[in-house]
Amino acid sequence: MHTARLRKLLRDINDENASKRRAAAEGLSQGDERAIYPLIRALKDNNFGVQDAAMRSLMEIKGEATVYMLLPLLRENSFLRNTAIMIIREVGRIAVPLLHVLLDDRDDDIRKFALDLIHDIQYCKYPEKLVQMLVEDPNANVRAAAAKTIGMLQYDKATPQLIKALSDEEWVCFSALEALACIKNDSAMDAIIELLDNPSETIRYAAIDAIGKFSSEKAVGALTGHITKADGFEKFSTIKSLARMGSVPSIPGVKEALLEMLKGDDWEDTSVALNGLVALKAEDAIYHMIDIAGSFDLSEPVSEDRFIAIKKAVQSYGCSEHLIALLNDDSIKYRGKVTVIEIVGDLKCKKSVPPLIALLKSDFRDVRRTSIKSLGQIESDEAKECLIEAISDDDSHVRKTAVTALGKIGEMAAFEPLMRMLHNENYNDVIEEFIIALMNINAAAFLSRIGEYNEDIQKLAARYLPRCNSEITC
Amino acid sequence: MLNLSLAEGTFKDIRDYIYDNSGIYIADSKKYLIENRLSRILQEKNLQSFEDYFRLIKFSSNGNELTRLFDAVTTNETYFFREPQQLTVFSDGILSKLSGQNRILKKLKIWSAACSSGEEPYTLSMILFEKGISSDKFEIYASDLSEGVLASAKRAVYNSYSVRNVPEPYMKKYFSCNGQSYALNNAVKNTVKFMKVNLIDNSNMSSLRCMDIIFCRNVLIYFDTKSKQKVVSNLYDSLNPGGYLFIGQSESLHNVTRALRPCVINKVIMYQKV
Amino acid sequence: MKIMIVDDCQTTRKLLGHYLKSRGYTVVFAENGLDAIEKLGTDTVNLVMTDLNMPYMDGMELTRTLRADPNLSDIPILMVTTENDEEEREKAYSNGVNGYLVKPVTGDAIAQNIKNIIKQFFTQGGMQNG
Repeated sequence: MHTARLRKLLRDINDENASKRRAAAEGLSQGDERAIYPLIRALKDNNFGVQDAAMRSLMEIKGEATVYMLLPLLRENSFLRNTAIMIIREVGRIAVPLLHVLLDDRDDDIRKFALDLIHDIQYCKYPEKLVQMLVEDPNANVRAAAAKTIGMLQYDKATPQLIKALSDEEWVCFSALEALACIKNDSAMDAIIELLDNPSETIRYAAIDAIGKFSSEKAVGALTGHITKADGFEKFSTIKSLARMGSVPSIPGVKEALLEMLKGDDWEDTSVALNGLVALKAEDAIYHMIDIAGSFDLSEPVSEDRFIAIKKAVQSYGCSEHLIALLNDDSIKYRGKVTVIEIVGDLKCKKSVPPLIALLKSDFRDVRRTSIKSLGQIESDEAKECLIEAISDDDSHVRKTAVTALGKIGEMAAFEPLMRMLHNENYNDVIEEFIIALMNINAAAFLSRIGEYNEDIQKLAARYLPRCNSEITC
Repeated sequence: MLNLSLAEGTFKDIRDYIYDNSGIYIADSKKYLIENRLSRILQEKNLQSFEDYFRLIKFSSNGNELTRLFDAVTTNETYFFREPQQLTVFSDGILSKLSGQNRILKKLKIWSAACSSGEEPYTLSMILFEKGISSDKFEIYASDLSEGVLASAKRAVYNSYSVRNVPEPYMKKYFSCNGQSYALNNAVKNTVKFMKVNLIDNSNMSSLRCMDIIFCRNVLIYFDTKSKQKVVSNLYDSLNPGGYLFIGQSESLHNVTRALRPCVINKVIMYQKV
Repeated sequence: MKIMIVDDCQTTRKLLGHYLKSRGYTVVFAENGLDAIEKLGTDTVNLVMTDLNMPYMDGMELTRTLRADPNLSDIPILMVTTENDEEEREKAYSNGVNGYLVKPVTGDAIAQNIKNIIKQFFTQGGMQNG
């Protein structure tokens, strides 16, 4: 940055006007080390916009000097402390060597902050120091943070010390279990399995969770054995862990537990349950899956992904009777029904044709439209007649879908009806579909009668000429 | 019909291009979405590959191809009176707070950022009229990235889906019905100024300053954290001190900014520039 | 009864979550104060259990913000933090928390504190510091 500009920004950051201070703080993001101290002072500005801009700029400048000058803020009030932590975290790996000295600080909280930062930055060249803290630190929160960080770093050499930490206070044991589950060193398995008989429910729960992450035969065996000894919440957790490993024993209670997981609030659980229920071939779960799919607001990107996951799961059942029965089930949400219609079409379920034909009379345009599309995909003779009838539906979207479907099938019987209806069609996009369909069914015949239509339609038809393999010239 | 497939490399090129030009980030899992939505465009233009399409975007001299691309990748599901709890707080809570301040001469300035086909800014206008605030006392600005939707917004004619949440008294007073379409009357239409704005680029926001209230609902979901921070920073700069930002009820600023302070009225959250 | 756990550490959320779920409570989570406020916009809880040190909005600010809104001010708040500092404790109570526990803390201690807070809350008729 040019010196003159830097000087101006350093002046403006002390201006009376908050907008000017904020703009200066923003501008200093391109500054060098001379900008650091003024920006740190600006973190204490009474205007939130200035504080925020200063924080972001320090995050951009990064560097050792920034971290060095931020360390004293860790001893200040909680707001400044947390801001300093956010910035140091963003700075990343360069900060880690400078955090080493904090690990011996007299203040428990400072030691813990340092460990948490190393955990978030996911980098450390002195893991032995962390192991020493795990074993020797007088404060349980610090020992727990050390365990957590060791696990994040996947520092395998610490496995023996982590196993020892399983006998520490509950808070520390919990973190040690999580760490061992991250590292996945098989030598820890026996010690963890022993914890399945621990008097503390929390420890047993953490052990079940940890074992579930090992995904080995020994793990599956241990948990399968434990189901019979557990009940309630613990049994549920055991089944969950097994389902995560892709192992779903067909014993009583498992299906019910998975259904509960499926309908719960946690998407991760639902996702695990989806796989488990499919593996169990539990067809009565299809209703619930569709119910969940039907409740999503698809304008949210997150929901769209989840919707697709559920649809895939239901599809993997194939043309199940349960699925087809849902076409006649009025208790499903309308979006759920549309999903079922889509799926039977994709799967080309011939048995779904009669209920789909019945749905062509639905009040909901989307239901009619999707039914037509699916009937088009299934290509049964029964369906063809209904499709031909649908090209004269009141709703343009329905007409369009029917025309497209007929074109795709290349249904000869539809040729004349299409030729007739094209005369009455007003919407351009539907007209286009008529033309494409007619070209696909019998381009030669269509083009030979193109004179029956107005100029606009003829021009539109001409656009599609290169697409067909016809040798007809206009 | 053509069955083109989108190669990984081309997807990344298109994705990066969209990101650099608008801040909208398309995750890997959405590749199928791009494939589907762009296929139509390819067919229309008689293009043989996505690579050809990408070249067209990059080298087209006007912005039209690019805006068409943006259009295709964002879902524009919107309707009148969306998220009514927020609108109630706007009308009963915020408006009285702001009009209480010393603003006898100053007009109330409201910005509907990412207005799509206009349902939101027109909703705000109707609410203001119902509160007895005449059109000379407020200004509503509405912006979007896509010229297509802006054109549609200026026409102000809607289908039954868009108006499905409009209370009956408003329908009678502000709309005229023609078969399946509903046209807004001129009194409402004329209160909104539409303009094309790219939210990550503050250089195109110079006329959008000193706003009392900004609505930026259900669009931040398209941005990754870094772009969101840029957008919200720009919105902050556009607000008056004491002004409010409304985002979608299912959206969050919690890893985005400290500059705007959350304030809660009737469990609805707004963010204030204090 | 539904409780919101606010803590930026995932392991802590998991542990505290388990303590509560295994005692029959329904639990929802938030990563920091701002996240909590945003979620309380659409969710109703019977108690908020919050850490102190969190990015974007810490426990103190969360407490002040909840107490400032008439619709949220009657939710009891239990602070659960590593800060074993008398000054911080006093500050927390003056901001409006109903209980203050220092980590590490056992499931039983948490459950007992929650029971006491809820009881106190309803017998004293709403928001008054314990």
